[in-house]
Amino acid sequence: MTGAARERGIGRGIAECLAEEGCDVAVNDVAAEDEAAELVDALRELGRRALFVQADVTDRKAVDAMVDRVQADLGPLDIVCSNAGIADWRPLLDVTEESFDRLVSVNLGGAFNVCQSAARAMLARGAGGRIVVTSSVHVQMPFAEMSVYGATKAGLKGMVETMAIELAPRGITVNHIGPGWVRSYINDASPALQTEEDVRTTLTLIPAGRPADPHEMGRAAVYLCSEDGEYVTGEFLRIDGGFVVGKY
Amino acid sequence: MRFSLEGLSDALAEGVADGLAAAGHEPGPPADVAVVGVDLPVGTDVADVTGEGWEQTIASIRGAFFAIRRAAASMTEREVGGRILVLVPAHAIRPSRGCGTAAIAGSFLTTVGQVAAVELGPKGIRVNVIAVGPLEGEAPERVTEAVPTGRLVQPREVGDVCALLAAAEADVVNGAILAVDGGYVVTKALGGSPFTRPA
Repeated sequence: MTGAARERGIGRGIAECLAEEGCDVAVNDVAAEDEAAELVDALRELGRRALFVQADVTDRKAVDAMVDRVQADLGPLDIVCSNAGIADWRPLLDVTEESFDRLVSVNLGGAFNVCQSAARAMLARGAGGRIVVTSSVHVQMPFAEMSVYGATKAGLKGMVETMAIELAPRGITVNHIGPGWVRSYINDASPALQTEEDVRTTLTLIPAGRPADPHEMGRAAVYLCSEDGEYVTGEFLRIDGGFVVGKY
Repeated sequence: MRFSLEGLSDALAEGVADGLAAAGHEPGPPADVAVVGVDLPVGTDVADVTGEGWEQTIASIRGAFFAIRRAAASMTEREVGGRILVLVPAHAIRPSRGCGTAAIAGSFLTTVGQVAAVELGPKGIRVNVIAVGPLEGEAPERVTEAVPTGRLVQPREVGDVCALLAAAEADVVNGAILAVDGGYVVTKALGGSPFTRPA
């Protein structure tokens, strides 16, 4: 479970839901050791085995080493959730090389590293597996001032669909989930959510009238990783309170 | 108007240049019509893409992104409006087994094009995405069976559609994804039916 340490993060919500369903969980993040330690403790209190593996998903060698370590400590990899991601808001004409490279390396390159490394481990074992990628509603409805962020998420859609086709014969499903506005730390910097009035305005765009809790992303991931989800692959499961319906 | 071509394969660049020239356009700089794309190999699974292959993918989308940004900045500075055409592989719409990173790169640039259309529309700049189907001279001959028109796409035909979108009459077309593919993306199955077995 990558990008899982931070409090109020989607990754933590997914990790907790998978643990509640019986999964032993390796919690990955690039930093936030203290928060990761809290999460690992919480998962162990659920009766699961859990460990924190600090690694930068943009570093391929570190990702391969992480997959090896998780398999050595927890056993064969059945499920991989690629969730680590960052956001940045700026008009296309103001996108710097630094911003572009950072977004692409974490959101797209990191997911490629994690999914390819995990897929190779699953293929080597030959017992199938589940891959769940956190993309975004941007996949269907790109937003102004988020050209690169949205593009990285669209790139994930291309990756998920291509991998789904090639890995289905080997019993590996590959899907992506599309959070809308989640009460997560990544949105703290959103220009659309800086004041109470901003929040009220944004809420008017969401038919369900509220943002999502990270655990609602987790329940969706649980479905995709469950026996009920065995025949679902290459799919995009949007969990957004109707946010993008009628807008794309 | 003057045009520029960036990131296209040699064959596609020639076809696009011919199509735009036939419509009376000439090469820039500066460019009033910027045509930007990527040229990526296919034939591997994502699980088999090498580190070098991935770096090439990122370098390609990076090059295309900043080509779009440069073109937009130049058009904005000159206050001339303009046209940006983003050429992506049709795999962006219909991924297939063995399409390597084409769907990834194509989907990435499709979103860049659409956001650019939204942000640059008020400046009189129109940005559209062309999903290029299997090209004659590049795609395997047997892919012909997957194209409802019964033939592969000629690079010059892509150029002719670029000229259509560059025309004044197409000013209202913005943020569109136009498949130039003989109907390939409707179904990628050989024979045009999802139940047809590949040869």
